[in-house]
Amino acid sequence: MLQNVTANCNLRINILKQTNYILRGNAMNKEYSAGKGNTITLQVSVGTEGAAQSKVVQRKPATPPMKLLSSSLSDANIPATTIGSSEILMGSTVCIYTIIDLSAIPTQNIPAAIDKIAISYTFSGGPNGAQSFIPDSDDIERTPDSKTITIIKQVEING
Amino acid sequence: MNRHTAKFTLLIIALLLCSRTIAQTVPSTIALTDLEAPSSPAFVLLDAAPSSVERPMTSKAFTTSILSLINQNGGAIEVTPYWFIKNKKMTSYRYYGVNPNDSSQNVLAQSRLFSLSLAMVNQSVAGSSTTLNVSNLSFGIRTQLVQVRSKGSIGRFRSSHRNLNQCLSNVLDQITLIDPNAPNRNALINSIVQNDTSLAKARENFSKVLAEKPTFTLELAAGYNLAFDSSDFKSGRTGRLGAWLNADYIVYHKNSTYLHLTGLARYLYDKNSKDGNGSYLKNDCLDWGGKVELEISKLSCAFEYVKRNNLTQSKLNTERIASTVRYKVSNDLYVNGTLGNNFGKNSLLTLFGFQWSIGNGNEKVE
Repeated sequence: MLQNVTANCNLRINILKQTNYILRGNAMNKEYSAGKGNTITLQVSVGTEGAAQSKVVQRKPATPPMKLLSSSLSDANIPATTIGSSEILMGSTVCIYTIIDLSAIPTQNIPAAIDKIAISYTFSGGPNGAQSFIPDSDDIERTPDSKTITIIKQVEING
Repeated sequence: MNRHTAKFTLLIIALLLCSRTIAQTVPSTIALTDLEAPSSPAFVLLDAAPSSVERPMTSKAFTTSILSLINQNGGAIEVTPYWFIKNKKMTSYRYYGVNPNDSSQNVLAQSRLFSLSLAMVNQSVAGSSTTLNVSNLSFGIRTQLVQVRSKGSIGRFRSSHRNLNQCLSNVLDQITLIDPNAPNRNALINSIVQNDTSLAKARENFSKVLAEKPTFTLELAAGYNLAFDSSDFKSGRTGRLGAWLNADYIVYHKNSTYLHLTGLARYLYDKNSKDGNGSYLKNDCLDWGGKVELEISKLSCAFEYVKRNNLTQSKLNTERIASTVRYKVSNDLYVNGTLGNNFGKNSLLTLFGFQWSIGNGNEKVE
């Protein structure tokens, strides 16, 4: 019986290895309407057991990236903070970077810790009100040892 | 395969299907301390664990154990539900129960990491005229109620954690300069992360601080056992029911050497013994005892004594005296050996067991 249990464990592991379990977010809208004459705020929420940091950068074609926000040294959360007016942000891409270090998590728990990561980005102040985004699978990068996860979310700001 | 064994196998498969995250690709290197897994409460309830006095330890997301005794064999799985539930408000400080702003700590922080276990143990029990084969199915739950770290340890935690986050912030500054749409984005990020020596050093310091064992821990566990006589599923009955507290205090610590004193208090409801007419007797028991354990790097040696007071039949009072050794045999296995006298009359205890946590099979120990 124990041999059967072991065989079932191995079969299950082999099947599930084919599947990406990291942050199964649905493909979400990557645009936020800022309107005119509005003040836009952004909140970043990161739930993880790992040490983490977040930064927000504004990117425009042919200009160097401009830093907008950084998390405190306690965690990767950024409270709702003004990132600019509609006119300043119009036509640019707001890039939200989060890095998570899982090296201190017991190795056997790292896959579960990755699956547990809960991130949301909430823009507000636009004509359509608050809108939240979550990372897509192609926003996520990880080192070969899976101990460092980097999430880069791009949200285009339009009218 | 008989029916109740088939049902147990189905239960195991159902639990495996629920523990989907175990199948993610894991890193290929594991620290030795990560391999050690505590005995499942379902084993402890049946007096089938290597040690009756378990030092509280952090449960892994998913653990399997097998054991082989002279007259028993079996297996167990243990799952920590915390690792399968998202929490948007979790942070590293909250997880470890440390306040980022001062030296206070949440001593109850680890209690959320409770684990559930399921075990099956086949026993050969000597009857009045024949030997009875008893199959046991046990359920267990365990949680570390209290964990107290020294002020010095808390201070080192905050300092090393802050330093780690500062290094992560510096690395992220570099990553923000990369074109997020670059086709080789991942390679560039990996290069930054893996070549940052400050980050590597900060991680190492943080891990060293986390490896410091808490000064005091208190664990609560409970278990329920269903017993089946002679492999007959219809004979299912309550075999045992129990709840216990383990308290561990570190008396001495220097580098990787620890001297532990662990105390135990346990209540057991037992219905495994028979009277002269062959009917099962109910017994209420109170166990109390302790263990002295010396940990030196890879080796752990312990001596334990547990007294069992049978409140129903004082003539059945008994005790357990055992010595336990734990050591790493190979890169993937942690082996326990126990020698002593188990509960009961003339009950020689000779136990040999393996414990391992599920991975992808290719892990190497650092």
